[in-house]
Amino acid sequence: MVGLSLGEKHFIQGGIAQDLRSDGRKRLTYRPIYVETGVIPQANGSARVRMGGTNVIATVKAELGRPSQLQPDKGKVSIHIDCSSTAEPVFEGRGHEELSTELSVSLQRSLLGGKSGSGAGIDLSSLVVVEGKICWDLYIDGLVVCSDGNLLDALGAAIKAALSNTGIPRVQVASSASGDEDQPEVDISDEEFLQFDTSGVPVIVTLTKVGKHYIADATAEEESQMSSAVSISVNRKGHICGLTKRGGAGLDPSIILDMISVAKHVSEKLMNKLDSEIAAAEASEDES
Amino acid sequence: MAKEQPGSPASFVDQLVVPGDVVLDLSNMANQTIKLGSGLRQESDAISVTKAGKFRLSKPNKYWVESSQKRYVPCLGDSILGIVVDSKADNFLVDIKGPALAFLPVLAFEGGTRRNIPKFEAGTLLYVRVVKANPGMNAELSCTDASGKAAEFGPLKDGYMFECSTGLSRTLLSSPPCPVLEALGKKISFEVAVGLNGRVWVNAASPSTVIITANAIMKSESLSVQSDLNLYAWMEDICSSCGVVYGDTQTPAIQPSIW
Amino acid sequence: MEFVSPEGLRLDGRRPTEMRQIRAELGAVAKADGSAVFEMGNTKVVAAVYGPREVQNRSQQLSDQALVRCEYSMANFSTGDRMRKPKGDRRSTEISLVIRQTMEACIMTHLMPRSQIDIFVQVLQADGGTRSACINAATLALADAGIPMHDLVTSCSAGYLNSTPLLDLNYVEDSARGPDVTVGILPKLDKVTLLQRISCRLCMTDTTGEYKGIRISTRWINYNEG
Repeated sequence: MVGLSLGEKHFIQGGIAQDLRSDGRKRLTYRPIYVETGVIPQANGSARVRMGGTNVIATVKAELGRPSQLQPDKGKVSIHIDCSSTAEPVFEGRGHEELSTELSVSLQRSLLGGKSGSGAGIDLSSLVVVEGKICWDLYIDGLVVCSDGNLLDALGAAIKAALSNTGIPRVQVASSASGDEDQPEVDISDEEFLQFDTSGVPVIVTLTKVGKHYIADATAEEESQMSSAVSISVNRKGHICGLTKRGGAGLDPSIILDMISVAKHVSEKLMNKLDSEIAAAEASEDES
Repeated sequence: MAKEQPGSPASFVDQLVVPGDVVLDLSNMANQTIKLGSGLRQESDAISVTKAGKFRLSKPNKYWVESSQKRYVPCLGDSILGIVVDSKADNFLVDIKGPALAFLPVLAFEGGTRRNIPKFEAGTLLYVRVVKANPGMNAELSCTDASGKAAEFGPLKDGYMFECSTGLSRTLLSSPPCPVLEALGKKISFEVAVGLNGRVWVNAASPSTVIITANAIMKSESLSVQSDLNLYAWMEDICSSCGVVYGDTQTPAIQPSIW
Repeated sequence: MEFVSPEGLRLDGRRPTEMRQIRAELGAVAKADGSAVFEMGNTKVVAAVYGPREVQNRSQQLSDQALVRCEYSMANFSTGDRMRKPKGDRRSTEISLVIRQTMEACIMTHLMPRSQIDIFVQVLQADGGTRSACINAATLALADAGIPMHDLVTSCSAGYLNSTPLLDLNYVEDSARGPDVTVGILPKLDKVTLLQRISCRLCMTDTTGEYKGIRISTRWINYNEG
């Protein structure tokens, strides 16, 4: 692939300086977001999110497992992201691993809280079936189908949508009288499903610094001109849940503080937009 | 699929065809000379399609498949936009969105001699003409017209280049002029260079005008009915989405210069 | 296990020579030169084509024809039980090869010497017949990219269970380990380009039924092109 020509680079940088980007957006405006839920019927929950050319799928699968000994009262959640080679020919073979790992780790940090599981967007104790014995393991898988910048925000949105689409079967513990050693027998209902409370799941806002200014929802062209990017995850209460910086260039601490307050403001709009999109997607899924 | 007897050309003209369709049967068309364009192939008596698109007939006897792609296949005489990738002793290597890089000989400029070889850095955008397009060879470009004059060819400075499908760039160059460009040109003044390889370059006095023009052109691909009324309404839509009031530019309206 | 009821209906209510519902969408991957999503029942695949473009690895360049490459991968969530499958295991290498060979047969590679065409196929949901779905998706993506082809390849599988030939097996029928066959044909030229028999016993497959199914799928693809 050919990179950007000199003129284009100047144009992108100049446009951002004048608060008018090459697709007509302002610096802090997002591209339109489209959400579809239930795209992978085999999973417990799934969603596809499109923002411009970026196209990602997130799925949630729930399996029964044993809670870890250190936290017997909590379920386990893991996030794994894959970049399909359909998105970019360089992802072929093992070429995607670096980016996939980077995205997985940033999402885990942003959405799952600390090591102890406190502060996670999902209430982990709601995943426990029998304390210390059985819990639900949630496997969140993301797939990047087409990439046109701002993958992290799109994946964050897709995971939020997939979680609100997820139904976990209700589990009945058959006999509590059995011995302490063996696993209690359970009966998994295939009719009753429990929904998650996803209002605590944060959204991720990535601010990309190009020249002297920073922009939200950068396209691939704009990302190629970035000096550094800060991803901030903010929950509904306006609290910061995670912070990741990418890119080599250093940032002045005052700019970071400034970015955080801007991200908080932007996240409110994004959260509302996303919630209404998810609700609309769920409604259209129910209809069909 | 249409069940008409193949061989009656009218049955497929202006229809969508896919690879493998047999559109003409020469055994029913004795004593006729026909000319085949892109996307068609002869196999004994059958003319079959190799590309998906619309089957076109230009009276009396030219047939071709009109299709729209993201990639470009070099064709003799096309005016295109290329990006310099590298420069060698005799040639510049130019990316033209094609299957292979194209060569631009360093002497293929107006009055070009060994002494006045232009210096192009990698990334320079050029408006060029295809002068050789032989299968199995890299295409050869030139920055002069057929009579050796520079005409409008050469490097494009400033402005903004974006990519579109080859179908859209052909529409933009069609005659009578493309209604979108005409409508834009009535209100806004701008320069545009359309390459048949699906690259369009736009320049204007202010960046906001460039962005409006670029977005209007990019979004015009999905327009089907181009009656004037809804075109203007649509244009206002685009402009307001870019934060500019349509028709608010003070510069005198001139016709776009389509190269 | 009974795969065909006495009334002649299969587990999912289809008749023996009935295909699952087919859906296709072109241009799903905005950045690719050509792309398509193809669904056969619950099986869903995405194919993206990049090229013809400059050969990336010079030593692979062919002077008389285009280099066709293919990568097949399955998403973690594509199977019923979530599985961690690293890219490039034996099965996916084999399917990549099959898709590549099938596509090479229909692309007019001699028209684009010294260039490279990449086909990437990603399985989003696997419910039997992924091989056929991938081939159908790849054909559509190639047509979308405007790559010259002799014909559109269409593919479908068939099996033989409970003494009945069945068309277009789903996952349950596929895992019954009966004999099955995957066929790819060039419908306009009436030629078979792919024939894979994965069987343990000698069997006679009702090819007429199969051809009928493939015809239907061709018609569908034509319809979707329009």
